[in-house]
Amino acid sequence: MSSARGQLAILAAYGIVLARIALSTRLVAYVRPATRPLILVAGVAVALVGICAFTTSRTEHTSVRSLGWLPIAPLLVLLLVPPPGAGALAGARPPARPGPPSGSMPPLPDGNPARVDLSEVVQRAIWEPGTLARRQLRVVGYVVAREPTGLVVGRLSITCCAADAQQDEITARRTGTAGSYAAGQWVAVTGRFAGMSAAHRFAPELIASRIAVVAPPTDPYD
Amino acid sequence: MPLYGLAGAAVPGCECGSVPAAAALTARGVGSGPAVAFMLAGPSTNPVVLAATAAAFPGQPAVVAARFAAGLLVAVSVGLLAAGGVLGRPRAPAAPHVHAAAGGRVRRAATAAPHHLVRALALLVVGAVAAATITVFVPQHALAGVARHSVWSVVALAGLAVLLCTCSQADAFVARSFVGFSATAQFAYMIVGSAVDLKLVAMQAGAFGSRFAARLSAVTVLLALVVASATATVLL
Repeated sequence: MSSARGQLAILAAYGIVLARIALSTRLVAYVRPATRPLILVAGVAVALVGICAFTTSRTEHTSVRSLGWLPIAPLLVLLLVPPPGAGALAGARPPARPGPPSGSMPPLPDGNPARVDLSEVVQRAIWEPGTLARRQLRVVGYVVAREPTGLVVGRLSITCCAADAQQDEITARRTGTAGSYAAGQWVAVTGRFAGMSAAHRFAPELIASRIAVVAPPTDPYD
Repeated sequence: MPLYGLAGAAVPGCECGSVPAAAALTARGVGSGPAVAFMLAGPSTNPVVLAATAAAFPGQPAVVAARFAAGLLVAVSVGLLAAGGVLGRPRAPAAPHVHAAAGGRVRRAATAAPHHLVRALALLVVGAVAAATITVFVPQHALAGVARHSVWSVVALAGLAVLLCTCSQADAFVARSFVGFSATAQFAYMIVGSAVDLKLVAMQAGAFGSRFAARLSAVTVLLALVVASATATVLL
């Protein structure tokens, strides 16, 4: 097999692997689930182009540059390296102040406790803390850190792909329980908002009445 | 020239796609000036990026307008320099379209596609490895010391934009996350990052030759920095 066809084979394999990941739950380790159809179409298109070119090309005068072997690197990574767990991406960027909401925020959803996204709790706590008062909140995230006073629980939001992931955090005050949880474990914290955490920047503090282990959600991002 | 810059605004999505598109333009005989303007304008001015910028800075339409204006200005001015020969000439495209004469347009596109895909993918790998390595090993809190300084904070974020290679749809959110930095510095991160970063340089070197790409990147970084600072000071 000539080098040109070898490179085309890698291209086709890459498209196939991409399409397979797009059809599996592994996709969320890298990008937002909403991009699934786009990635599926792209994977299939690349695979088709690669396969058609491979089967119709003859060994010949198309110049082959050694650079063209590089696509084997992401292919090997996708095949051999398991995707990281939920919190692994978060270390690069410290929590940031969330942007202000456009217009005033609607009241919390009904229910006791009210189910709210972690990033929304952070945004409300900083910009409109009055909307969080006197309600029991239920927030889902993964354990970032275990401390004597309780847990730090976080959740990622991504815009485009994992490279721009931003972690939002809350602190769950419940003394003496930290030991029962592992870092990275998904938990649901039920509690009352009690102001911003003194030790963790931009992290609202919840006095937790209950912390339960939950299954990782199908969409781990906010 | 400005028309090619505006045409770039119609290309949705992030910056990676603009390089092969511009290379295809030069292969078809479009001058390097308009092709460069098209390539640089797209990532900064297309609707997806502007919508993302609006989402990241709610209630601040000036940021979105400034991004469009600065992006277009950078694209057109670098394009003018390229047209004037300041950057030298890009290397002739290396793709030998073996079956170029045979078959209709679809057939020719299908024949050229695998070659372009392999090359674009290979160059993207180079840039992605550089970006990933830097993102992991450069501690961002090291920047905190420079945040207060009015001039160096802008240069620092512009430099970080080149190193981190965030997609232009996402860079508004990343820019906003640099708490403590001035609006001008965050704006510079967006404008410089959409125009030049390591993965773009790798793709441009592959498409246009290293010499042209090096000069293009150097000129673009400087111009983007100046235009971003000026626009931010005036409009923000």
